[in-house]
This record gives sequence, C-alpha cells and structure tokens, in this order.
Amino acid sequence: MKYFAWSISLLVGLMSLGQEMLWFRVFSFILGGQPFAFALVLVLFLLGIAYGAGRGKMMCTRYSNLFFVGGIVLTIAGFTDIMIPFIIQFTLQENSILFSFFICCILIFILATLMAILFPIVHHLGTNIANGKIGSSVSKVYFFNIIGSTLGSLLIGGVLLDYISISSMFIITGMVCVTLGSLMIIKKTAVSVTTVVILGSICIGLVDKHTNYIFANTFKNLSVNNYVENRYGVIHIVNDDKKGRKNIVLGNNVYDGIISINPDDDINDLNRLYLLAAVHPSPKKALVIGVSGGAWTRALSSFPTLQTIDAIEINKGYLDIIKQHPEVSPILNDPKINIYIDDGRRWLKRNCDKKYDLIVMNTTYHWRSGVTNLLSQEMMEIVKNSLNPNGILAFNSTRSPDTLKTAQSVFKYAYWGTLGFIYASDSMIKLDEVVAEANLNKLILDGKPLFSEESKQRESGAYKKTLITKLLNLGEVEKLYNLDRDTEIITDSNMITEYKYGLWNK
Amino acid sequence: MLSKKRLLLLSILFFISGMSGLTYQVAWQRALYSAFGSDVDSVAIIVSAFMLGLGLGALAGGKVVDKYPDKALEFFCFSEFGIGLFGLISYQLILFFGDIFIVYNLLIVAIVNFLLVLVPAVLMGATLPILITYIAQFWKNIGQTTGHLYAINTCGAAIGAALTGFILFNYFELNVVIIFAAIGNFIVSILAYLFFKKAQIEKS
Repeated sequence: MKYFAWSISLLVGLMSLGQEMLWFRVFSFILGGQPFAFALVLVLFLLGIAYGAGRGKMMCTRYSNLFFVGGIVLTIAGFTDIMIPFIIQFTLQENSILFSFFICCILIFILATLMAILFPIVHHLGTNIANGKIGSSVSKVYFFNIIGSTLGSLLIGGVLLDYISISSMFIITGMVCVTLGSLMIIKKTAVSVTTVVILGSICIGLVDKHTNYIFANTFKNLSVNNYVENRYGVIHIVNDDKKGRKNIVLGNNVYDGIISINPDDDINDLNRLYLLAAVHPSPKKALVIGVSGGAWTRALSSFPTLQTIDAIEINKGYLDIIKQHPEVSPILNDPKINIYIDDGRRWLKRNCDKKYDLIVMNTTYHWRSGVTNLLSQEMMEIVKNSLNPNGILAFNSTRSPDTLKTAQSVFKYAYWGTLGFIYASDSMIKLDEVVAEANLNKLILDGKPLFSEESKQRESGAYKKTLITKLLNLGEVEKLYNLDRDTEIITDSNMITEYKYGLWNK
Repeated sequence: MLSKKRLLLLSILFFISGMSGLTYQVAWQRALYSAFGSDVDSVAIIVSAFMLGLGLGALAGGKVVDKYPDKALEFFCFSEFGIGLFGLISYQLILFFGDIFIVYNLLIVAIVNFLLVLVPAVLMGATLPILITYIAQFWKNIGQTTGHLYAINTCGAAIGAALTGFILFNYFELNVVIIFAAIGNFIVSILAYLFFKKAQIEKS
C-alpha cells in the first residue's frame, strides 16, 4: 500500500506544481505582467492548500476507506481541470477581463483545495505508525510529493509548454488526475488497473496539443493576425481596425511595439532610434536588447557605418513572428546582425569584453515584473562597462522620471527625448540640425536612401520627427511632470518602478 | 497529553515559520533573477532547487527525529535558527555567487543555485516531519497531525507571500525584507526553545 501512496504523493505533487505554473502564466497574461501576479497566484494556491489540508485532516478521522475518498476527490479535481480552459473562454467572451480574473481566483482556490485534501490522506495511507518510525515514513511520503513538485515545475514549466499550449496542458493534467482518481477508487486487480491506465493514456493521446481556448477571446476590438505560444510566453500580432493600425505586437497581453519601418508614417516613433544616427558621428558596433517584432533592429541596420549589430531576445517565439513579416525578416539573414536568445543582462555580463558605440533597449513598461533588472543603477553600470568612450545608451523609460535620475547617477550626461526615450553617455549629446540632417540623409535600407525627398517633408514622417526632438535634462523633466516627490534612483533592491511607484502607486 | 494552549503556541510558531519561508522564496527568487538572469530556465532551476532542498530536508528530518524522538523540539529550534542565520547573509551571498558564476554554463549555474538554497531549504523541509513526529506522540492519527500542521504552515506561507508581494516590497528594499524573514525564524526558534525547556521542567 505504501508504494501506491508514494506514487500518488509524487503525481499529486507533479500535477499541483504544474498547475501552479499554468496559473502563473494565465495570471501574468490577464494582469499584463504586473509584479504581484506571482504573489497572488502563490497566495491563492497556498490558501487553497491550507484549507484543503484541514479538510483532509477531517476526512482522515471520519472515513475508513480513504482510498475511495481520495479517489473521488482526485477525480473531481481532474474534471475541474478539464473544464478550466472552457470556463475561462466563456467568461472572457461574455464578460469583462476583471470578471474572468475573479473566476480564475476562485478556480485556483478550489483546485488547490482539492489537491491538498489528498496530502494528509496519502500520508495516512503511506505511514506506518506501529513500527515507531513515524518521522522517516512521514518524510518519505513528503519527499515523493516534493520530488513530484520539482518535476512538475521542470517538466511542465520548463519543457512541455514548448510543445503543448496552456489550454491543452490544463486538459491533460485533468485527465491524468481522473485516471489516478479512478485507480484509487477501483478494486486493484491487474485487469482493472491495466484497463484504467490504457483508457487514460488513450484519452490523453487524443487531446489536441495546441488548443487556444483561454486566449482566443481576449481581444474584443482587435483582430488577431498571428499567435505564438511557448514556454517563454504568449505573443499576439493584432490589427486595430478602428484606428487603422496593423501588426501591433502584444507580448503577454501588453503592447510591445508595431512591426513597421515605414519612414513616411512613423507610427511606432522610430525617430527615437534615428536620433542616434543624428547625434553619433560614426557608430560601428551596436547592441539591441529586446528584439521583439524586429522593427528597431531592422531600422538600425540602415545606419551606414555600423559593421556589427548584436541583438538579444529572451523569447525565441519572436523569431517565428519576424520570419513571417517581410518588412523585418531580412534581419534574420543580414550578415552583420547576430541574434542571440538570452537574458539581456546576463548576456552583457558574460560578454563584458565586447564594446559598443550604441546600446539600444526599447524596454517594456517600467511597472512590469522583472523590468528593474534592465532599469536599475546596477544594470546601467553593466551597460556603461560595455560602451566605448563616446558610446550612447538609449532606452525607453516609458515615462518614468526615476529612470532619468538613475541614468544620470551613472553617466555624465542623460537626456529625456520623445515619449520619454532616454539617451545617456559620458560624452555630451547635442542635436545639431545641420549635422543631424546630413547624417539622416546617409541612412540606407536595401540599397536605397531610407528617407525620400517626399518622406522628408511629411509632418508624421520619421525624418521631421527626429529633427524636432527636444532633449530635456532632469530638472526640466521634474518641472514638466510636476511631481510631488523627489525622483529616486532605481536599484535592484528597491524595485521602485515595479512596486513603490508601480502602476497602482503612481 | 498536549494541552490546547501548547498546541496553539506550537501552531502559531509553525505559522510564523511558514510566513518566513515564503517571504524568503519570493525575495530570493527576485535576488536570484538579478544575479543569474530571469529567463524561463532560471525560473525552473530556482524553483526546482528549492523544492529538491525541501525534499532532502524532509528525508533527513525524518531520519534524525526517528533516531532521537525525544529531541524533536530541539531539532525544530536548531532548524529555525539555522534558517535565520542563513537568511541574514543570503542576499549578499546570492549577489557574490552571481558575480562569480554568471559566466558559466547552465549546468554550473543550476548546481550553484542548488547549493545556494540547499542549506535553508533542507532545514525548512526538515521542520514538517520533525513537528509531525512530536505531535503524533499525542494524537496518534498521522493524517490528522499532518493535515493540521500542513494547514497551519501553509496558511502562514500564504500570508507571508501576500505580505511580501503586496506590502513589504512597496516600502522596503529586498535585503531588508529578507532580514524580516530571518527575525521571524529567530522568534520561532527562541519561543520553541523556551516552550521545550518548560515542558522538560514539568516532565521532571
């Protein structure tokens, strides 16, 4: 009996941690990567576990056939799991995202409760109180549960989500639970156990591994062009037909740029990048941290003096997106562009011998989880170490004035440009209109000048937008924003853009 | 017999222990991201290392407490004190090892992560079987004992995660939050020791 209890303990751990990984991804998506998503999932999960363990404790004293009771609980948990993608799809279709979020909270709690009821039951079944070795027999059941939990995070979070979508993974974990529950309920003969295992395996094998129930109805006013889901996250390419905008990139449900390099209509404000061509005399090496849809890297390749562009992207799914868009796909075959799949900060630390004239980070919103690692003083020190003496760091503050203060604490000069794009360097950055025009005229894409004469005249074109850029210093920005507080330096430890001055605490 | 008052005190201590545990997990996860990278592989490595440490701790705790069943509470005090001590130096330790080992490949990084969280995770994992063994002397029903302690500890863990993610990070730096968790461990350790001493005196 104890071996069976150990196996159940292991598999329940695996399913539980696997589900936690899935819920974390769903919540990250629904909440747009807000930093408290992880804590919220953890809290709901743990509260469910605490409540479930209490219920399980009661069942251990009330019922004698604990295999049967445990089996029923596990089967109910399994069917609930299978229903989850459909429930989320339905709530998103009929209601607001907030309502769906509350439904998800309830579902996490219920599922964690059901799984946790099993915990005291399997301990009871797998522990021998009579031989005086309570500690070691308890610890073995616990050990198997934790080994299962470890496998759950590694297998489901680290491997399977590359091949199976989140919706399908919920259905499959549900089927595994139903199979396990049935095994606990039935009379354990070789024939019955084999039958249940075969039936369960067939059902799991028949599940479509790429269903998209959960994210299918997320965008009510946008049409989805393309969709990639892997273990790194969920990417949508959408069109906003009302505003007439195409190929908008959404990474985990948050705006992550537009796939466009049209200089005539600079909808994605690439002028913020072209400003670097206007102010740097002759950059030879550039680094892009965060390739996303590839528009910035493609636009950067028009800088005629650049010999090498290294580009880092954390989610390899973007390469699949880029492949499908001819506007940006040349960056995959451009001999001077090297794309690496890695964490940007780690890549810089590992390649500290490489020096660049330009480092560009079109950073995501300053309030998103983990963005401190790119905006902190520590990160700027790392970047500074990788810049040549006249090198420039350009990054998106997403209008957080604290980022300018942070840049100023590391570099001699730091300025606030269009839409809060920040330019920092140890050399003075000056926008001279004559020099800027001359430099912009030299930009070449696919063998042709980037800016035609007509394009140069357009008010909404990148050329004019670049030339009218105003570079503000910290004092001017503080005045402009009329903050009722002093700007602060962001550090790895204080994480102020995510928490203290995050989305909800502005 | 375990009086209701004593059970309540032990439960409160295990609740605080759970709070500290999850505060560490949330805070260390952030520190490890900064030190080693925040991609999916890092996440999987950190969670797995933590879980594996807990599992090994559970095995070790069970073995030790079976050998010395009378010293269950002493082991519990020792574990909590050890976790607190590690907590105090953990932030600097993570950054230090991050600076040295970031340049190595994924396998080395995984091993370093595992070793970094091994000591506290083993000690945390050991506390559950130790306390179960202690209370099972009085209750005799393992399911009931496990359910009770697990529920209490997990409730504390939930509150710890909520406090850290929703409140503490808004007001305090990461290293300060970790020190709060260490203080929780020291409180638990000292109170459990006093409780144990009192029980010893009453017994004799």
